[in-house]
Amino acid sequence: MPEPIPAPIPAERFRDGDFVAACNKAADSLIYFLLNVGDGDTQLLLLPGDPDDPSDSRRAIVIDVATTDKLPALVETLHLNGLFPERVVGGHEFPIVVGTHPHAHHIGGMPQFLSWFGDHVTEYWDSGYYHPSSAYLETMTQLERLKKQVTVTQRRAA
Amino acid sequence: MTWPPAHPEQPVVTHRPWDPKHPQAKEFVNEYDRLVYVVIDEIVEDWVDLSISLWPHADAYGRLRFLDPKGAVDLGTTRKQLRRLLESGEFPTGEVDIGQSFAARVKDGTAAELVEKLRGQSEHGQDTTDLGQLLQRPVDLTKQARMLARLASYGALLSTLPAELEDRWNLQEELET
Repeated sequence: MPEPIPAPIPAERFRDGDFVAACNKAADSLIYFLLNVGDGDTQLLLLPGDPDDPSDSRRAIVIDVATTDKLPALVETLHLNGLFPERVVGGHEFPIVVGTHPHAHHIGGMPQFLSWFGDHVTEYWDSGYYHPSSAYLETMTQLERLKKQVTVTQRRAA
Repeated sequence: MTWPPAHPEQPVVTHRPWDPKHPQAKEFVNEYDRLVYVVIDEIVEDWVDLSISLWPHADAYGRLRFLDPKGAVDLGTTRKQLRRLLESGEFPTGEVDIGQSFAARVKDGTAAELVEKLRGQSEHGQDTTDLGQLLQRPVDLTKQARMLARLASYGALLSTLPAELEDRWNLQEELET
């Protein structure tokens, strides 16, 4: 039997507690969510607001949306718990959304996310690879719909 | 704009099944409820992931629209199984490759029933070692599908141009025609 690998995170960090209260108390912290979507990726980085501006609130960066429904449910839950309020100043709750590459387990839920939250997105970062899957085609259609407010950039673009 | 926004409504798309201008197009259009749109999404060694969608519609601008709000379903299989299925239909011989796309008829029931069945197994679909039990009569649409993917990308990227350049080059009108 191989030796068990020691947990890299100290055990006391796993104590029961109020996660939401801890997050609200740490307003200057970045909070990272890696959603359980099986063999795929859906990540949300909840950024701290501007420490010099009390009216500033959190924004979020999204990296890949593998499946439908899970990320919207997280955003709604964060909002209900006061962790992701509407931004009074500046809007643009999602300054950057990234589609790392167009395989289904990375952008399978992206069309739904853009359809739902696209009006709150500032930039979409695309890999620049064409792919004829329905997820890719619908993602591009959503970005075309949002062209007045979302800037799309590709690896190959200037 | 409200925050967070309400769940979006389904897009209204004219009921016009995509006609890929293939010799078997008449059949495509007539049997679209039994057709699935399949793309080779990923290949890892001998394993192939297929992305399976209900047959798309073409909107007023000719863009493919996939109206299933749950998106595509994944189906894993082997290169050998996929090759066997493709060779049973209208598909060139040779190695399978990521991005190759084809239409296929479901063997039993409707396309919607098959997609729901695959989705019901897990969030990401399921694996099969007998693809021929699910799909039949594949028709190669790789060329058409890749062209539409490229055009869709152009449509999204036009947004990076300043509006005055779009106007000067008449790009919006060109896209819409």
